[in-house]
Amino acid sequence: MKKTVNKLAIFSLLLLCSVACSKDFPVDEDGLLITDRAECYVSNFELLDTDHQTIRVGNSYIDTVAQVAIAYVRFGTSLTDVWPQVSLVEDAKLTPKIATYNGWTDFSGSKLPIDFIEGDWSAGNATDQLSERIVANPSAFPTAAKRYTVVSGNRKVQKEYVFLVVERPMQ
Amino acid sequence: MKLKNRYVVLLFALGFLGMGCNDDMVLIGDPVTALNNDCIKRSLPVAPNLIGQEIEFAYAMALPEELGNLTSAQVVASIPGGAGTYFDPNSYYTNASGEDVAVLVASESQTSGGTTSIQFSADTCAATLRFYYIIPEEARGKEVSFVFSVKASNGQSAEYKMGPYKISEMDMTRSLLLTSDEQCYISFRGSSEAAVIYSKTDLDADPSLASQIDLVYARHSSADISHALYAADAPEAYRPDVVFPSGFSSQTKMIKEYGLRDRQLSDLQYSHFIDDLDFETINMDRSTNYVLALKEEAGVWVETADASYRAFIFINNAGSSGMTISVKRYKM
Repeated sequence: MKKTVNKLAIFSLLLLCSVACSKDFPVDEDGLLITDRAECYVSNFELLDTDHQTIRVGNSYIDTVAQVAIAYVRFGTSLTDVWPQVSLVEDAKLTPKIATYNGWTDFSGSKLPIDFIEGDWSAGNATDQLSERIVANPSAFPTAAKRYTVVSGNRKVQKEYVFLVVERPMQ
Repeated sequence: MKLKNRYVVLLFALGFLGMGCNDDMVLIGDPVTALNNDCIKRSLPVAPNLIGQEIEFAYAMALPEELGNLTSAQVVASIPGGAGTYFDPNSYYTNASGEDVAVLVASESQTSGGTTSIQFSADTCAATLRFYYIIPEEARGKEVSFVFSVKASNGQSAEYKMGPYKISEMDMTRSLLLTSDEQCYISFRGSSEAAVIYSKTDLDADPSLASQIDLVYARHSSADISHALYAADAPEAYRPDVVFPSGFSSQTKMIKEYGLRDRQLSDLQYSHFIDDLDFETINMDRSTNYVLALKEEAGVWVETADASYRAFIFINNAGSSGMTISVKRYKM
């Protein structure tokens, strides 16, 4: 009886040991874990006005193949002082960083002038037809458009995204 | 055995009797033998003291009944209060349902200079009077302090000092109505009011007023614009159908806010306060020359073109006909 208990105790201790010392992820210069993940993409793009309310209409369009993120914003929003928020895949990080305090950024350079055609807007939101047309024509992207690079969790994959802003016609 | 038990019980009973009727009642602390007073400031301590608004105090005084009754009370303010400074002649108690019930104890108060005095008319040995000090223009940016005092019929008197309290530099004007087709011109340059609204009729009568205008209000049926404020250099694309009056040239700076709910501007809701310091430290670098889609409880920081005034506009109400705004203004 006693032997069995001892065996069990030793076995569980060994088990604990193996769990505890599994993997020690290294930490990068920002104090973030460098993990195994190689995924590298933007999952959402949000812009806040000076009143910390969103200026977006509908969802942002993100093309992870063309590496383009498009935010559709309300007619008349001033883009000189907006606070961008970019969501990334797990463990990834963004460079250059967006400040966590006073992250006001001038996005007026990202504003894409485009002529709208029938079917571009549905119930106030941009349709995929419009988004796909924008992405298909990279030569029309403004040269001053904001660009941020996504770095994957293992820090080995880097992808530069172009961030565009399209103003909705007056509703 | 039974007998023994009875003896014990009897013994204990006797013991309790002996202890029970020991001492007379004793007062905790010293007995009150003279006229006493106390005072609290009822206005919130963190609230900025604004010109034209009141500071409320509750002044309590009492003496033992056998010594006499209260005859008079007075308060001396270091800066004479504005019109409407007075002692409430009622003493209040709170009834079972939590309401304040007034009991008239004094005649109307008299104010001359910085002194407000009141004579007791009821035969009372204890009262709490409320004192309302209207902050005068002379106190702007200064400190004001108060000396409360009370006299009793036995010749005793007592005194209580309050303050000093800092009086704000800023002005406040509440509940101004803006309408798109008439009352649509806002000026922050008035001498006594934080903001003045000029109507189109005013401007027709006196076109020179156009140079006093800092912002133009417009209401648009479009949801993207709805309630908007424009400076003279606002882009034309964002102000459809809005015609600026000739002579309006103020390049006013604005920063849109939401949810900055000042207690004084929002008619005593919420518990935030915008104080002089906020106007001094706000960074106007991220300003624009127009703000669109304003709604209830939104606000706008404003700096006039010559940077001589900063203001905060709070939107109390925004409906289909126009908006109601309240404004705090600070002279830089």
